[in-house]
Amino acid sequence: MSLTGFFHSYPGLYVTQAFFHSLVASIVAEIAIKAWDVRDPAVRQRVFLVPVVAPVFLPPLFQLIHPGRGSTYFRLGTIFESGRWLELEMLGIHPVMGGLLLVFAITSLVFLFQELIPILRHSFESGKPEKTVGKVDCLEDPAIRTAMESFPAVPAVFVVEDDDFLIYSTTGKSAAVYVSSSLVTTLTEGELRSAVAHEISHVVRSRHPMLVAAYLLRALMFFNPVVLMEFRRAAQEEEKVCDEFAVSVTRNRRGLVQALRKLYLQPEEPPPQGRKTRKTAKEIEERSHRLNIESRISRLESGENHESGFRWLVPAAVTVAVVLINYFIV
Amino acid sequence: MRNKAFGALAFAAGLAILVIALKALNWIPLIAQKDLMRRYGDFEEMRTALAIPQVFVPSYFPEDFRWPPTGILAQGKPYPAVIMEFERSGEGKTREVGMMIYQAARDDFSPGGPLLLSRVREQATYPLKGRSAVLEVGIGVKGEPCSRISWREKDVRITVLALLTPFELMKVAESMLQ
Repeated sequence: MSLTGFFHSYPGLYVTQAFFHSLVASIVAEIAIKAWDVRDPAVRQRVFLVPVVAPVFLPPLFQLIHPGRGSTYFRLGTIFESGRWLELEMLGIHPVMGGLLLVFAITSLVFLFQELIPILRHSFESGKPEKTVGKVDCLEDPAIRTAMESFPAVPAVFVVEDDDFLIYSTTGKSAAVYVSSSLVTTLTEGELRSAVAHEISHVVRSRHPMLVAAYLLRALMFFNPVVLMEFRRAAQEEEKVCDEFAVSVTRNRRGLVQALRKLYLQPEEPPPQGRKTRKTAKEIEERSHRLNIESRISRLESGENHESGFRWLVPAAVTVAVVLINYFIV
Repeated sequence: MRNKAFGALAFAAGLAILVIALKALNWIPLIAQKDLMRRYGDFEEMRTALAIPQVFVPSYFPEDFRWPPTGILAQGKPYPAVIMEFERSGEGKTREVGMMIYQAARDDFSPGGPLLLSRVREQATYPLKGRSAVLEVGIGVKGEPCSRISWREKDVRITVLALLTPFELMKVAESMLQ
């Protein structure tokens, strides 16, 4: 199939519309975040998920409402018609079509190697028993026990023999929190409780239907770079949502801040002197991770309180605006 | 509360800027490439701009319709296509598009637009000066008689859609062929 043939076919039209719809949704989400100065991570997450969900449903929904959307007259009356850009021809080729297809191909590979394969591997390994040396019963703490009562299931917490600072959780049927032995000896009791509460929040929220559905929809949009970016932003907010949860359970903001510092903010090693070094991908990733942790610490230290009544207003406004504008984007 | 109201105002302003920016982006390709689908002022302007080798036009017009078309849309890429709109011009008649003639290099070209054959009552193959044409008779959106005839002529498909009786429609179609 030729390049033009693909973009004129039904899959091609869907893919193109989904891309432009998510792009517009992403811009609308950003405008809303700035306009209302949204800092609540739960609200930010919902807003970032709009560009993930919208492109899956909007093209077929609009087609159902108005079957003549593909007609010449409708396209001429729209705000933005992607076909005009796609049909641009230079030296006998269609540069926008080619560029867009390349972007879709790269994004699909990123999804495959950075998300799908690691997730499948993780799911496979979650079923295997870990080499544990002990089990910590966090439910002995009455505050945590009370807070956990409302959850469908509280995961077990295991200590893993390891000299590195590690804390992570596995989800699924055998959901559990794993803490390295060195971390248990390094963190104070309050810090450890905060860190474990954060991980428990991940386990509990992984059963949240909205997040599970969002991930499935995101997987359907595997080719879409905007969806990839927005889903990652939503995932970053997830850490902050879990921080909030940990603080609400333990009532110990300082404990979580200290735990984060000890876990992730080791003093940075100075670069070797005498020669100009180029940053490697790993260094960039580490720097980015460090910035993310610093942002979480700064949020926790600011002790922001969020209005609960405002939580659905911004995502609702973004959704309405996205639907209305995207109706006129073909 | 005041912050929320100000936020809503800022959000609305942001959306307005976004829509304007999208409209501007939509306009750029039309400057860069002259043969994309657009509306033309008149028939000659379209012929000059697109250099489409042959545009089929009728020599017979029923009462209330006349040459030149009141609206013309055309493109050269991705395939040549021309749409001509004819408004009813008789006294006491509302000025609405009552006839559309379009030709395109692709069989699945469907312009949509102001005229619609909302219900087909009868469909038949009709010999049109040696060509095999498909004639559809039905009603328009407001319940008025509406007919459509379509046939392949060399490398284009021609369609005539009008708020006319089949007899009048066939006379228009026949007048387009020599």
